[in-house]
Amino acid sequence: MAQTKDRLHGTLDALILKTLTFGPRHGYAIVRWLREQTRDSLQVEEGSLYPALYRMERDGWIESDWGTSELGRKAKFYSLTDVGRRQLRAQTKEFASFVAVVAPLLLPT
Amino acid sequence: MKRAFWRTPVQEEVDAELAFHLEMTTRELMERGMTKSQARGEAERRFGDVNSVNADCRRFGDQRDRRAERAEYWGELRQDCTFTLRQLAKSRGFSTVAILTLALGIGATAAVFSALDAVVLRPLPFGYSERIVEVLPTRRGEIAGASAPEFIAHRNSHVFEHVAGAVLGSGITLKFGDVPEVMTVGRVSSEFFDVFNVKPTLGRMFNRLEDAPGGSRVTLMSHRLWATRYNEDPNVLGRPIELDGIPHTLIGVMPASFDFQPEDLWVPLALTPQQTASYSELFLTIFARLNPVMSAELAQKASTSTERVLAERIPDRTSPVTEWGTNVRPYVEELAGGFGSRLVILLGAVGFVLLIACSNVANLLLARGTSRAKELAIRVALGAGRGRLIRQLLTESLVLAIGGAVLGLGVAYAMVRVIVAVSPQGVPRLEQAGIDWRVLTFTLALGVVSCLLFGLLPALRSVGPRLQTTLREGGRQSRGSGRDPLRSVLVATEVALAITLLIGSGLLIRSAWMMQHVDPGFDPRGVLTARIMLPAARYADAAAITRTYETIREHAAGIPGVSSAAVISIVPMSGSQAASSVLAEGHDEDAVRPQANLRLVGPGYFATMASRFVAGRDVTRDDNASAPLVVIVNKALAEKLWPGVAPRAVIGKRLDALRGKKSGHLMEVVGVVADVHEESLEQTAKPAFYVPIEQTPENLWPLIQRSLVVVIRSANPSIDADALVRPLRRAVAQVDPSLPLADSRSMISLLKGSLEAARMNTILLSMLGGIALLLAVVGIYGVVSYFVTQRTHEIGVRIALGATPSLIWKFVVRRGLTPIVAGLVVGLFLSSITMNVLRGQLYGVGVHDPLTQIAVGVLLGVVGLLATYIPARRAMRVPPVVALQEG
Repeated sequence: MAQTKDRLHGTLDALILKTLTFGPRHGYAIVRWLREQTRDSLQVEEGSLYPALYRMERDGWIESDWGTSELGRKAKFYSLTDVGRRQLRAQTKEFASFVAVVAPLLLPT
Repeated sequence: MKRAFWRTPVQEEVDAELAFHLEMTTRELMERGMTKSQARGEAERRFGDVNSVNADCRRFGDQRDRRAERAEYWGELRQDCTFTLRQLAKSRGFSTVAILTLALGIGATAAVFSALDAVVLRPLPFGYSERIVEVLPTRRGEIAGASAPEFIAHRNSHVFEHVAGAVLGSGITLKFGDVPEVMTVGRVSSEFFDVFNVKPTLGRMFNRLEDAPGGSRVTLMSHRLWATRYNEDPNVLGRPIELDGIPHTLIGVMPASFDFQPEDLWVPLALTPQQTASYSELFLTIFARLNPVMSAELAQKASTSTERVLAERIPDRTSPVTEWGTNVRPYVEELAGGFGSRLVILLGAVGFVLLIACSNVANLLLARGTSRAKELAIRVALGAGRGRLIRQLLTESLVLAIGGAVLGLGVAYAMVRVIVAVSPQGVPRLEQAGIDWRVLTFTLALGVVSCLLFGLLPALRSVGPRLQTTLREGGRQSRGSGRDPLRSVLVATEVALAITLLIGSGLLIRSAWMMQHVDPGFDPRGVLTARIMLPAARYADAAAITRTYETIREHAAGIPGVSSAAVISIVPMSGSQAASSVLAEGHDEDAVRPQANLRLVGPGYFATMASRFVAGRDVTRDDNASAPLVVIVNKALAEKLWPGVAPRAVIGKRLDALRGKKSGHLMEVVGVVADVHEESLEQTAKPAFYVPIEQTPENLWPLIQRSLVVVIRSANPSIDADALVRPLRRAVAQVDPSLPLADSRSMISLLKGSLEAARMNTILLSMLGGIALLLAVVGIYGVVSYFVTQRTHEIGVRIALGATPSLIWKFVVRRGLTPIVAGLVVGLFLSSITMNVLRGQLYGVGVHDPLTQIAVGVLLGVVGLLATYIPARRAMRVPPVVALQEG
């Protein structure tokens, strides 16, 4: 059970990091991007994104800076650090091997 | 780091960010056609629990900020360190002197701590070793031995968790093949190992049945003996071992951690019914383990009442019940003996050296601070905060201190060896002294403390309010920096501490010198001593024992080159003791009887030792069992028993000892000998009486294990008496080849051994005094030569204006002399109050010995003047041109 939760947790982290590979974004933009890419099928509580952002910033995966949004509002922009980039690579690899192991069992051809 | 740009509180940051998100979502939903309130509601629903999200974010945000601060701090520290290392590398002379000085101070302190830790502070390797105590019965506060009934009373009293009786340190013959060797044996009751909370690594302890007369003969062995003689063979258990000719079964081997005990073997005490009924045989040592709830003080009160309850029941008690008591002492302290207090004194002394070292480095830093004033002023002008600068200066001190501590470890390592080398033999656990993590921690802590000691004041001083002025003046030091009173105070402190140390070592050297000139009461040159024990199996009765010793004496006297031979129960300076109370005929039987050393002596002993007779004669072979009882007393006992009576008149007087008043056997004094220093040269000779061996009470022989010391004197006093060991062994083997020689020592080496204890602190304190003097001189030199450098300009002007060299000389020397004189005065005062700690170690010289004080004062004055002389001479040679050039 705990393992599943960790995996979901890790998946959200990886998704956020992936989003930031395209350049600095603020929290709202990350949520929108995720929703658009998955065509609304990824239903996460938007709020849970922020603790994840703060945690990853604490751990040095991402860093933040106040900037101006498209609408001229002050917003906090997150960008990827080198540590974060390495983290993303590791998590993607892990996810791929997870899928490789689980897929043949759950998706028999 | 981008952190600096938004140093807003985390709370505001989170609030703003979440508000932004909700607002953007609301706007998006409104664009899709919702009303404002609908959109707001939907946005909040999608967001989830705002409060808990907010709290999580804040928590992570706080952690993030703290981490960042820490990273910043370490980053700055690293910066400071690299900067410092660069700075120190630039001024190599300064760094070398500072680090060496600190290494000396820190290293010496760490070394003494290491010894103190090993001997006193470290708990014994058994659980709750602080609860192990010795219970010493007392009469009128004076410590006496313990009788078996006393031991049993304490064991039954429930004051202690475990109580054991023991006779430790006696000798026993163990045969390896055909060669008999003397081993140290402990006769202990079955609770002995429970008291120490130690179990055999191999086999088992003896039980209560074995610890009773007639129980099977069993023995335990020390790990040391097992390792050195049996190659740690696990199959030794159950093997028969012949002790004093009697077969025993080996039932266990004690762990290596118990090797600090001098015993090689332990056998059951097995008290006989006679022993458990006798109140007068004080042969036991009582060890006990305190109840967890009891302090040693409480246990002493409780066990005192045990003694008094017991005393009530003794029919022929010689002293009133209220005089009975106990002294309960922690075993660890007892183990260290007087050595612990010597080490504490030493620790105080090295602490002084460390203080001197610190004030020296502080002095160096102050000098450096003035010459660096410009650099610091610029940094302040560029926006560095004062706090930040102080931190950087302290980092510099810390780097120096740690450098000193690391190098100090090397000093400590070397010095521990010196301490071990000059320490008296047989200090328990001293060999364990070394550099372990405890010493390492202590050393590093010393480094940090000394960093604060020497670094804080100079740092505060350098960043003081005068910095701006410095900048304005273009970095030229026109303020009277050579006049900094702090530096003179530091030098005065050094001088005061150095004087105290020097007076301490001076007093010890004086007493060592006095001791060399004490007449021990015998002539040790060319005299060899060796102990012989006759096993009970073959030498049962007194007649056989005395006959054998006489034969041995004859054979020993026949060795070529030996002028005379004799036997005695205990030789001087050997560390053994035996005493008994004595009563002069006609004296009040109920009064407190004086204690006197008891010696059993054969004919010719005093001649062999070259001891002087004051009156009367020696014992002869005619003073045998059937002849009237005779005794020889020393001058001290004669004066104690018959004060004011001339020695010649003491001959023929009679006294009672050893036999109890009911038997009425009085011994007649036939001779008075000059006092002999028995325990050590610094202790005045105690009263003593000598009983001829053939008249020794029969029951005494088993108590002393039928053991006497053979003393032989070489005809040639300059010969090394140790050369006589082999001939003596051969001579004894002719009498009985199974008899080993134990403790064969020349009288010279015994005498030296008794000086060892005093020697240790004399050597070490003199070393420390020398270091202190050196450091103080460096300090004085530093202050004066710095003064000259700072005042070169002024001196030049003075010379140009016609000042004579002698005026300049006075001008400069006054600078050095003021702190020296102030330090002298304070130091003499300081030593007058601290020297009391040495009182117990001095011989023939008072703690306020004026000769030592004057000598040390003159020494420091002369050396201090020399230290000012060199820079002063430089000052007198300043060419007047300097004044013009620098103006």
